[in-house]
Amino acid sequence: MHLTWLIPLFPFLAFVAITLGAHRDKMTSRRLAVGAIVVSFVLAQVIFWKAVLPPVSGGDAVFESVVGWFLIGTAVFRASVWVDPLTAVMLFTVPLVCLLAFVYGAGYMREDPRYGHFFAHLSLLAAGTLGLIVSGNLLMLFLCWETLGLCSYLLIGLRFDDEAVYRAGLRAFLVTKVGDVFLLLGLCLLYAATGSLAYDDVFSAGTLARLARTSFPLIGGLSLPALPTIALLIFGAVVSQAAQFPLHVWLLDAVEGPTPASAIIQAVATAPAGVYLMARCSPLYTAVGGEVQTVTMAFGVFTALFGALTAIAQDDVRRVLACSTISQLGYAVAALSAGAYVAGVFHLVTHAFSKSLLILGMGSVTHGMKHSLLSQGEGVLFEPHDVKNMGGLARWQPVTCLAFVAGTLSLSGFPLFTTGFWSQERILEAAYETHHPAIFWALAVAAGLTAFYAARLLCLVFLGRPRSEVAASVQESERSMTAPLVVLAVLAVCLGWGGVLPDWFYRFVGDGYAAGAVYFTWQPLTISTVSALGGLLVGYLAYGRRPLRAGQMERLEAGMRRIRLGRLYDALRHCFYLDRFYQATFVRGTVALAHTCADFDRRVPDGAIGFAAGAGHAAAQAASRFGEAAIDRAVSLVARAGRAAVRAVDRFDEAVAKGAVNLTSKVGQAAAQAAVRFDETAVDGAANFIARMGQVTSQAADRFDALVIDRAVSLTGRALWVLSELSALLDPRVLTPLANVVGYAARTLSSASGLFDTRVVDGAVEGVGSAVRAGGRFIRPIQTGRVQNYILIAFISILVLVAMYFTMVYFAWW
Amino acid sequence: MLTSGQVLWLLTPELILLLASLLVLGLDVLYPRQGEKHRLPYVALTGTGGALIATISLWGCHVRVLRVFSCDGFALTVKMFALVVAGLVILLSDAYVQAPSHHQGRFYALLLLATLAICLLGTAVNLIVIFLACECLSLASYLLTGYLWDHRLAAEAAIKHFLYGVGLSAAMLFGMSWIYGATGSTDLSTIAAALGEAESTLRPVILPALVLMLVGFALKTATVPFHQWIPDAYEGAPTPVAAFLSVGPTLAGFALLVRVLLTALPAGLENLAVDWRVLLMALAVLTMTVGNLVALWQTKVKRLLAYSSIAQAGYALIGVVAASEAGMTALLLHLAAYALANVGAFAVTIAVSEHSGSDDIEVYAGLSRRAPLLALMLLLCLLSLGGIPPLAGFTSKLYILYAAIDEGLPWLALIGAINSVISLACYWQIIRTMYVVPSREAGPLPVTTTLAVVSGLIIIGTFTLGLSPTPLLGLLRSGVVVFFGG
Repeated sequence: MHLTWLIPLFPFLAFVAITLGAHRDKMTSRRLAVGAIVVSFVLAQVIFWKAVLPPVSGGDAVFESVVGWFLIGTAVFRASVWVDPLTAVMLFTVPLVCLLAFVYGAGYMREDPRYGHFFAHLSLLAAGTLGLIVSGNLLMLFLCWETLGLCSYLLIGLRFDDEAVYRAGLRAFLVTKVGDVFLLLGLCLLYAATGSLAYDDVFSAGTLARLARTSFPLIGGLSLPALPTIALLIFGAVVSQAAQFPLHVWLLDAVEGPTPASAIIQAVATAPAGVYLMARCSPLYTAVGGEVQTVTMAFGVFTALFGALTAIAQDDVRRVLACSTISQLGYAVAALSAGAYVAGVFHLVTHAFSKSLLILGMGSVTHGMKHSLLSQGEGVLFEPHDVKNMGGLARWQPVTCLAFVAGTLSLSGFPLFTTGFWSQERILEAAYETHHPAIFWALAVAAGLTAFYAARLLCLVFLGRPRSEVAASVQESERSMTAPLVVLAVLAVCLGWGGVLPDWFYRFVGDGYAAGAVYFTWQPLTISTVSALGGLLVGYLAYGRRPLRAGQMERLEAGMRRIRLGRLYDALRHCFYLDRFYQATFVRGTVALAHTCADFDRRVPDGAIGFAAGAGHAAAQAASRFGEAAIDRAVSLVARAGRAAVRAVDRFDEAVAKGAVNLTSKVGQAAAQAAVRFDETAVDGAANFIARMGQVTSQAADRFDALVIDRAVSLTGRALWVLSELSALLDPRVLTPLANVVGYAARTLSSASGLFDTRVVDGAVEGVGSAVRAGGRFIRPIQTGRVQNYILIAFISILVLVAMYFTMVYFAWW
Repeated sequence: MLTSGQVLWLLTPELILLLASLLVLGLDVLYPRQGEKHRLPYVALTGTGGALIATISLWGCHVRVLRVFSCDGFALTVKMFALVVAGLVILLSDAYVQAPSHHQGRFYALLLLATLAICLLGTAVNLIVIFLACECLSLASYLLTGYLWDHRLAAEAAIKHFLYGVGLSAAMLFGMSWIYGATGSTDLSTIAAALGEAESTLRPVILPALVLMLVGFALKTATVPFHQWIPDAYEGAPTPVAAFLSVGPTLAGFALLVRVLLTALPAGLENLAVDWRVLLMALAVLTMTVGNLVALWQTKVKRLLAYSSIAQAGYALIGVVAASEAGMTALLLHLAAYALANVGAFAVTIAVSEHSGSDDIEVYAGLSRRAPLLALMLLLCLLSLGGIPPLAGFTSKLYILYAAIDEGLPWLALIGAINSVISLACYWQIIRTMYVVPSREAGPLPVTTTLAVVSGLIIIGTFTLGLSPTPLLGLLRSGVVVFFGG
């Protein structure tokens, strides 16, 4: 079925043509865009009927067309298109809604200066959605998915000169990008585990069984089981794209975009693409079962309830419908989580018709309001989207009103003949079969609330009397806008008659395991009917029986304030302040982190250098002061000490030398005297003794001895005496001047060294100080150039890396 | 043993570049009149083209030349990239350099010399030759940065680039000397053999040596924290030079990193291989994050592109960390996509800043009206850098993240993916200014023929690599198998 390739091609070509130049001419842009979508619509119809006409059921009717695309590793990636029942029914729905929204947009946007761009972006959005639906593998799906995010951004921010609108577009882009990261990672893991991204490979029973046994190793011996990880990552993408609870904020902002774009984004393109992805991956979710399904179920049920609750308190018609979309997609996610694949898909289809009908109808109303406002020239503070300013429009816009009634009935699941009933009842039945009363009752309450807010909206807008001058002079929209409404209204209401078509749908899409639609369990059937009819009835009783008058407080608000629940009402109206919470945490946090990083880069290295330069400068000053003061003082101290020392040595010399001389002379005298006495006593005695001995022996010897020794002794004594006298004479005359000379020399030397100290050393110190100071002065101008800052950081980093490295090795070894 | 004729034949690309460079210098002297000098770029372009043809004709060789060069698929791939980039830069410089005061001859001669050095770095397998070629590239880069010497910013940038480069080159040489001391060789495969014999005992020496050596490579690859010269150099240098500096040295640095790490410290040396991978992982995370976060706050296009180059180098490091055949192929593909996108972005910067004399982002207001072709090219280049399908940057990032996951590093891929989202915000301010903010100046921006030709080539290349990367991938894979026993 090579025709399938062409379905997304034509809108894409229209986008290229309009962007490249045709946007200057409104007529050409419109013709190109509408023409392209008509061709796509016809092709899609051909494919749809080809898929449907052979009376087959289940997954048999699959066309696939594959071409080689590019290599990764050794594997060839193939581009492929794939048509199975899910694709076929989407091919019926999406081009139809797109076509109607395009026609509607041609009238709605007539006065807009960016008419051409609007059609270009809308064409790209259609091309992306169609590509997403027909793609045969998850990689192509991802490419188209990215396109959707981009187009939502472009379309929501079409009037970007308004700050709020621009921010809304940006937020939609960024929030959906969060999901893209999850999806990309999930696909990478899936590819790593299975080696393929094509549907028929990945979702085959064998692959899923293999996947269930695989796990991804993490750090430290831990591992992640593959199947739940991938399923949760993909679900992360679903949450962000299908506007599920914590990431639903973008859809509330998305209402700032032009209405036809809102209709496509909320009914068939961006938001439902999330649910489509989940439906596409349903074999994965069926295989993983267990906790993951509980998680997805929790998200879906909570979102369904949350969206419905917030929808009842909105005053802006556009926001009511956005909350409703969030809630309905939550329904679909809950259905898919409960294993009710067909019911989820069917809900997607019925939601596409009813929601596009409601949004386009609402657009017709606000279009009329804006025109009336322009013709009346009422103040700029007038809010044309506020339901409090409307009322009684049924008289002025009968066609729109009838279409809106059809949409309301379908959305709230009016029994038996609306399409909405058949999907809602099925989902409740699936919830009933999970045997979790909480899930079932939460969904039932959400269904009741849905009917209630739908009736509230209908009554507030169309019943009663006009509550403002503007509303009193509204005119019916032109035919290009009402015609699509009529078509959609017929589809929304008639497709469900008697359950014939739903029954066929369940057999066609259901893979053989689902029985037809006309198969009921009585409890969910009763609950579903009661909640739909009850919600509508309560809504009518509250708002329709006695319509609100101008200036009167809104009934629900009045009631809640009366029973002291005013704060709860405010919280509901502001969707529980999640916006502000995100702004205060994530957005501010990221901005602060980036600021910190930039500051760090600017401040810390600079500061370090400034600090180093300052420190250097201070050190230089300190050093030079030190040179001036401390060293100077030290030198003078040393010099003084030297001088004192010299003087001390002087005195020491005088004293000690004199003392020594005296001592010596006295010792000499004493020695001489001692010697004399020795002579006199001992030696004399000895001589006498010897003489006497000699006398005894011989007289000659006697005499000789006595004479010679006596004289010798007396000579020695005299010599000693003379010597001592001489030394006594010599000492004061010679040694004292000698000591004086030495002392003088020492004094000269010390004063010379003192001089050296004061002049040379001091000067050197001074020189070094001023050199460092000059260095500091040198550093400072280059510091603004910051090159040494860089080098400093580079070398510190080297040290850190080496240290880190060694620490690591150390830990690895032990 | 090769004959001298064969040696000459295998070195033809380098020889042609050298001759062309000398010829340009000579002709610069021979043509004294300004009017004659417009022939010089054609001489340079012919030289580049000749070298490119020679490179292609050598395809399939796998031999050692003169014991210090290895003429293999990887080397030839690197040469091919370098020559294509040099050719594009020469084409872009044409308008910029023609002002009378500029010395055209020197400019083209230095550009050719720098290209020669990159070619040598791609082939060299000996630490000494690597160091010499590295220095040759650095010196040429310093001179090119300060080529407009009388401009204060250019002179300042050149001095900074010089001082910083010299400091880190010294560190690199120091590390190489340690490796030589530990293994007794400067030949990469001999070093691998020596390390294989005595791995554990040499480890305490090899680790700091490795860090020091990697620092020298990091100077070229724009890796945080050795990135600080880049913004200043880009801002001060003449824009064509900045275009060349953002691509040429990065290419050379990654070629070196791959060659040295995979040859000298291959995966066979378990502990060492694990070590450098951990080190590079840390640097990759740091580089991506710092580059992107700081880029968010830039108000000048050249500085923004500088930080974006740093962030891109971070992604490329993931490819090196993966250290597998797929990782290396992805790395080369990423370098190709990055080179195309960066040269394209700088081409627009040349045209715009030459006309308005400023590179503030505000100058780009209303560019989509004043020069739709340039705006389209800049848009595509920035989206490609940000990784938007179906452009080249998306495919290359996809392959890199895939390689990381394949090697069991999903968290690294996660950080890479988060960073690619942040990077979009950086590029977004330029895109928004171009397409949304109304222009202050009226009248179209003049676009020269060469610029239009380059724009066309780059747009085609970006789409081709994004939509059908298969032929190039086959080529790249045949280039990297040399490291994996091919």
